[in-house]
Amino acid sequence: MKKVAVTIDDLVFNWGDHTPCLSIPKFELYCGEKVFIKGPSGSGKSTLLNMLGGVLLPETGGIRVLEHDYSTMRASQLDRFRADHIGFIFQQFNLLPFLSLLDNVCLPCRFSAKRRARAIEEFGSVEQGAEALLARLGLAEASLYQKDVAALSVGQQQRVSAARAILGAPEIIIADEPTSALDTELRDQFLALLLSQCELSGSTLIFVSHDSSLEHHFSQRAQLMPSANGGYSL
Amino acid sequence: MTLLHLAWKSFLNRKGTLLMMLLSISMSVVLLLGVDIIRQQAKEGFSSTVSSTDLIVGARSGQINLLLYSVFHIGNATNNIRWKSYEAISQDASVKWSIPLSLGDSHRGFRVLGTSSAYFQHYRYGAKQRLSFSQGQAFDGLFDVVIGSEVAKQLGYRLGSSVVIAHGMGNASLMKHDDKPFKVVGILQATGTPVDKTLIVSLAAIEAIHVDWKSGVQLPGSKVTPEQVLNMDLEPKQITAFMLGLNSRLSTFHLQRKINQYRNEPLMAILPGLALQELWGMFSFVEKTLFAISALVVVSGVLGLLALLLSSLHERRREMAILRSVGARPIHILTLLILESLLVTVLSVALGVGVLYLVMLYAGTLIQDQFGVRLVIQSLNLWQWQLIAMVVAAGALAGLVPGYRAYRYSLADGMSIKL
Repeated sequence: MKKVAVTIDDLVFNWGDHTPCLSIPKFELYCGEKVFIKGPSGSGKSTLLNMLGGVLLPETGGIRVLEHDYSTMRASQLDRFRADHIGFIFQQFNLLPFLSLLDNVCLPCRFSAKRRARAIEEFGSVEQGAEALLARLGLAEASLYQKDVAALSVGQQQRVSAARAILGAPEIIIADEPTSALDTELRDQFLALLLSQCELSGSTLIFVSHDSSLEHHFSQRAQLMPSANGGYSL
Repeated sequence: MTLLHLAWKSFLNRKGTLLMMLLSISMSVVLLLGVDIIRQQAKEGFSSTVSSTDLIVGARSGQINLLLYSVFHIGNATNNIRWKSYEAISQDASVKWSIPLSLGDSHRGFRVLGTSSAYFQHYRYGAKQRLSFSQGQAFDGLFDVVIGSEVAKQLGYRLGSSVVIAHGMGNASLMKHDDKPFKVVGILQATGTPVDKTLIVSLAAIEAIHVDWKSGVQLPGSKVTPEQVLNMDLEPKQITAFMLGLNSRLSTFHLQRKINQYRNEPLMAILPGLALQELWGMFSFVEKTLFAISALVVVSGVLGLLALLLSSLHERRREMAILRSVGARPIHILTLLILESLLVTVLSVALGVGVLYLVMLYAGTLIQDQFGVRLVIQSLNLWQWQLIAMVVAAGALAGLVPGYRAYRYSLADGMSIKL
């Protein structure tokens, strides 16, 4: 039987002024699945991702991730859970400018003992894991490691953040428009790499974008639709 | 360890602006500790101007006045005391030694002290150090003079130099004892006390140059040549003050009372240690003001750091979001900012202390020449360490404000990158 990765029930999220923003009556995702969530800008994509990451809490309704009910967890537990089980890739400028490329990739393993242990188990050490993943993502040259991350191209930066999200094999990877700053060719290349790496590590991928031309890469799709009350629903 | 590493990297990334901050805070630390070290050493130097002397005796006035003119050679005696009184008291059974002091003349702005050879034997300063000669020896002949190190340095005198003593004080004194020039026979080693700025002659010499004077002017037509004066009786009739060393400290108060009640003349005996303390106490407001100013400079430095961190916060919201997405908790963000501010202050303090010691090492002589404060290089005392701890604590506190802001931001922003 397949393990459930994410379950959302009767979720409603309001911003402070009680105008409904996002409602999700039912959403379910199994481990290892890759879902494409499409939504125009302002439809609450980031809100959804922040809720999945346990940073924002819904008004009503429940989120269960890997059989953990967020509503029963304290903020510090959520922080730890996120660090251990979820990897993130953002739109752009994902990297800390003051850390080296390698340090950026290793960062999650510094905050999560679980991911550190898994990286060591898989690659021998966190640094070796980072180098191996960078190599798989086509960033093998050691000369890059010493470079200022700001000097990397956007495509390279996104690949570095993908390596960072994957290192330590978190069960869930959340990508928030990671390709929006890339041109078409790089975009397809990046997406193919990301999907194959998730396959390799068995991670569940939640990919959010407004760009419907990416849909065909995914077996599962969902869409944030405008709802009658002025908000959006999934 | 991770956070410290991150704070360090983040600091290096911002080193341009933070370095200026670091310099500014380290200069304030130099000022704060420098003022305290100078204060402490000035106080030590001050209270060691005279040591081992149990009583100082002079005409009845105030104890600070007596201390100022007898030891610091500042101001003038209200009255002289009779030689006979000195003789009588110095022969008291409890007196071990006595040094007569006769002041009133000067040489190019430096005081001339008439005394006996006991001065070189018994006068002590600092940690009971006695005067020693860098060149020559104590006076022997009538027109011999021993000069302090500062006198020698500033006037360029050497052994054998000729010195004409002026009557009264001041450079422009019109009346000079130029008929009876003196010869430098000894130069004292530097002591860091008023002795350095003094010319020392015998009591008889003071008597000799005044033998043909009356009421502050040379009597016309009664010039006495140096040759004639040698054959005259030069026992002084009066002196300015004298110092006493006693056989036993226990008899100090007894003798003091006895002197204060001396019947033939109104005299006063003071305990130099107590008078020094009282005199220093008069300067305590200067001490406090200096300390307050330097403390305020530190505060303004730390406030600058706070402002800098606060203004950098906005551009750092992205970093906060990234850190949160990789598993940092808001408390980590708070700690990170405090660590960064702490890092700046600790480095500032280290730099400041380093600069301070370099200054003391290389500018110590300059400071002594300019301000007369001798800086002895020594390790920081407990209070100075406490000052350092306070600066570091203030730095940490300065990090708390932007840290808390960042904490609030990261709670509100979550992982959304706000631009």
